[in-house]
Amino acid sequence: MENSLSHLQKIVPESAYGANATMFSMALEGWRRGLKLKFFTKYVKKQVKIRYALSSKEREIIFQLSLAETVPKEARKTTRSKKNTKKALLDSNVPTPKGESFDKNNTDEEIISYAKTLGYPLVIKPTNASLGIGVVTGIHDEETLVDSVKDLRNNKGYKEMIVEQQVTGDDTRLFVVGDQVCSAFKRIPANVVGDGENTIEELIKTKNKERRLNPHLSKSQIKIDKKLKGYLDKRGFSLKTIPEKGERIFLNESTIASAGAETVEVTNDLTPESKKIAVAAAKSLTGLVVCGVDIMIDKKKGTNYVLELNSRPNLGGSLFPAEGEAKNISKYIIDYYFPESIPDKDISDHNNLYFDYESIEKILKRGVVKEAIVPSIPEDGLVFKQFKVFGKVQGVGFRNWVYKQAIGRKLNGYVQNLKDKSVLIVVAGSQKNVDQFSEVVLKHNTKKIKVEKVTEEEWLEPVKMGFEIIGKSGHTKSLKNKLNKERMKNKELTNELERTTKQLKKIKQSRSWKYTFPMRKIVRLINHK
Amino acid sequence: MVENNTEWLPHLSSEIVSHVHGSLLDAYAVSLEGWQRGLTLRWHIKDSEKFSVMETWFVDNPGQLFSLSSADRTHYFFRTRGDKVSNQAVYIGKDKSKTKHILNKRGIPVPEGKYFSEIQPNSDIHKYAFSIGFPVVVKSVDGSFGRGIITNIQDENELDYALIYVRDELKYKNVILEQYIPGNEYRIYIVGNKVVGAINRIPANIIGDGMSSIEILIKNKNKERMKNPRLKSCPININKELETHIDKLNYDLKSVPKKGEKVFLNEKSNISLGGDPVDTLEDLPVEIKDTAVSAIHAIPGLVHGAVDLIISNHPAHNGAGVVLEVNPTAQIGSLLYPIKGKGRDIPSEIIDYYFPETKGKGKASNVYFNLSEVLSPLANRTAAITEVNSVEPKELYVKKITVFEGINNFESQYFVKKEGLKNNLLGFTKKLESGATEVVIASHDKHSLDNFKKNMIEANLFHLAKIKEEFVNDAVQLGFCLDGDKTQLINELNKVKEGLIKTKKEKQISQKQYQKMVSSRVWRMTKPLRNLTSLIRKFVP
Repeated sequence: MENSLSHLQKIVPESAYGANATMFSMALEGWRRGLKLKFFTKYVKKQVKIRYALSSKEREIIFQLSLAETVPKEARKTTRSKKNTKKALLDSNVPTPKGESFDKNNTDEEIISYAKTLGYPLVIKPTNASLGIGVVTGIHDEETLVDSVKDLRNNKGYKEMIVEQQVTGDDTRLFVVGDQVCSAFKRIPANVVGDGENTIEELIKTKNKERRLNPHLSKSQIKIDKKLKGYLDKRGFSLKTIPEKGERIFLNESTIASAGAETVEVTNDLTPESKKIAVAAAKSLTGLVVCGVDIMIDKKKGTNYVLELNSRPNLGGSLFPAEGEAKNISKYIIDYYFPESIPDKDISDHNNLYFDYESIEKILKRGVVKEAIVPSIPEDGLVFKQFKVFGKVQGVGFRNWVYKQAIGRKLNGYVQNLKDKSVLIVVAGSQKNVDQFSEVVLKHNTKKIKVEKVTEEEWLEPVKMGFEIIGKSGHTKSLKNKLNKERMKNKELTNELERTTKQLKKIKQSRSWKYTFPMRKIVRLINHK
Repeated sequence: MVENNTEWLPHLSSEIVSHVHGSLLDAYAVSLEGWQRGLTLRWHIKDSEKFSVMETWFVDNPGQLFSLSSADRTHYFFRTRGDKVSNQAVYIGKDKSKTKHILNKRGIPVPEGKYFSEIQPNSDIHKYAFSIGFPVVVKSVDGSFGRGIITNIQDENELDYALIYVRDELKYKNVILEQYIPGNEYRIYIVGNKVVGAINRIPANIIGDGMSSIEILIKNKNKERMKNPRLKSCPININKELETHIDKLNYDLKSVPKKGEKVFLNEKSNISLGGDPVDTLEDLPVEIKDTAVSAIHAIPGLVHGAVDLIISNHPAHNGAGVVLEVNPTAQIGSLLYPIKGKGRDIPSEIIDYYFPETKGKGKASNVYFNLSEVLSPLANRTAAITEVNSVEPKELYVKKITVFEGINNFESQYFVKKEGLKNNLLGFTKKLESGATEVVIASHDKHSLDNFKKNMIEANLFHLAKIKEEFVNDAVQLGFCLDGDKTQLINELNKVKEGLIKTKKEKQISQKQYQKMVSSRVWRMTKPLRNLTSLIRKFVP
């Protein structure tokens, strides 16, 4: 099951990169098990948002990314406030860094004097911010402390904040589903690993290319800027340095994704203690059955400090880790919410079929369709085939014909013109329909289309539901050209039409035509006889 | 000939339905009515939800199956037929001999006739024909759209020909033979106990102008029919059947009928065969209405549908309505778009029947949705059900803002769309040849329109001095569409393509005509004369 994740990366449409990759993966997992899947729009804060629902015979659950709407509002609200989270954790005896929260009634001085009692290093977090925004870490002295407090409160406008001791270790995200930890990754700061040939600058560029292809990381690139140069400089490197093969060079100290941090899968390295603490942390809030628990794990010291709870965790870090084995967390979550859907037989052929999220998103975002129910996955026993068709098959309407044949037989896949003048057809469907299809393709010969040879092979790549003609009226530009051409044709024709009508009129009005009317009548009578 | 005394329903103007294919017109009209009243409209693929048990046909392509829901219930529709009509009623309606039997039992006049199954030889049918007397009609049991019906058969020879044609050539083995009833044919639509629409179906015909040949008159009539949303897909076809028919009247295609002379081109009155629908709801005698209502009531489980009947000229019937057919899945296009008279709001009556609590709602609605857009995810099997974004059953304020410069580039167009969607507006942009851009926006809330304008001004896209704004009465389509965006381009392309086909046809016609004239003997014969005329002109100024 796990190796199907490399497939996941191939089929996540670009429009679902980033947070929506979580939605895509969850929806796909449910749909492949035969749950009914529906996407719909919701108007939130003047923006159209896409939500989805999965349902079995027993229940329907609406999701927002990985969060089910059945999770109590109270738990969700608590996780959004660092102060309340800390309180809940302490109440349940879960270790969390020592610290205190302050609000707008506290003076800067009060905050600073409290901080000094905790001892360095310190970290300051705005209370109501997420995604690591505004967080200042690694405060080692009074000067930095004072600067940071004043900057956050007076320049950045965060009046409420938490000051706490900075704890050491790996910044680790553990996914708790029900009573178990099903996956974990640690975050490491932006880095490159040398190959003994390329400079740091070149290595960063290569890395950024890789990140762009990763649905989880594509939206955050490593920026080559002054800050980065300064960081390298302090460590005796420059952009031109060529690191040795296997040497890892860190580029900053942040474990925030937007700063270029990466995820390394560590599920198997977790100690029972870390797992126990993660589960206890999630359970500190009632009804938080799926939770992303952030823990600073220091293996040397044997400490586990819980920093944060997330009720709507992004699964991307585990689905698409930069290092280590990908984990299909969606599977655990769907197992939890829909135990009746756990397949009791092999549905591996379903794992090669996926639905067309991109088209659904497009139509939903246009504001015309509000809800779209994805066709249910076909029965078992799908056959995946590719046909290469040779002959007179391009520029003769062959693809349109193929489209009709495939749609009529409920086949999924696509048809595409290849550069060598042949046509590639990929289909997934029932054995009977695929056989029938291949038969009609082989025999298809018309005035224009001549099928000479067809080769058939197994198709091992994923196939999208529905059938499409690839490269047809895809781009606005080609459409515009086509439109102009048709308009020109229309104009020419209209001109010709005008000419003939004029000529006709001329004849009709000409004197001789008028004068010969009786004569014509006689001729018609003669003809009639 | 143009018939100007027609009045179609304003909320189903030919512009609004122009993008709808003829075969989907019925479903679109009924669904639009429900949707404009604020009901939730969903389009389905074959066998989805309740459709797996409802009797339907030819539904592999989407656009025939939809459902409407209020807060407490959902009704499913196949074209014009909703789920209150039972499957049994549908089976009976399809079986002409069963329909006849049931109606006859209830004392409703039907043509005298008998069913002959495939094992009965033609000689049996001949015998029966003699017993009821000519003229007679041969009807296939399973044919529709007038296929397999031969009417006004005068004698034994014609009957022989008709039976060979229907039973052997068309392979409709099971037939009904019945007496031919001369008279006017009507289609009457009934919802519950009420007649809500009636048209007189007049067989395809043309009216002479004293100058044009029958062929030209047919072409002109077809041009008129092209402007009618229902009739555009059913032109009068010039074929052997038509030529045979006018031959009986001693005409051919080249004959020139007298001015005002009406020439019938077909015996059958089917709209699909070129027949003319003429609204007669107000003139229909009460007795005829009663007959139609009782015919509907006679069929168990038929709560709305159409009755086809003839007001007989036959002395034996004394002007009574003789029922030919009962149709639970009737087409209503001809009732909406008659060639003469008023279009009748059948969709509204049907929705009243299913959702009486919504009666009168949405009447002022001036918004519609693009059917092909809503169906596209079903057509390529991306989705199994699509729900159309709902609208409030109120009139929209529609404002046209002409922006004389500055927003022609892609970025500002995109900004317009983003702001439009943000403010929950409907609308579109249109680039004018002058370089100006028309921005049409619509909302239930005047404030949103102002808000949009304010944001555009703040973004430096609208300069107060360079825009002109006005409220307009146009209907708007759901969504926000930019001039030059893909959907709009595809729509435009389809329109131009359609226009191209039309122009091509017209050109062919006039070229043919021209060729004919030029090559006609008389033209050739008078060539010296024409040359002479031009000579004289030259010398005699």
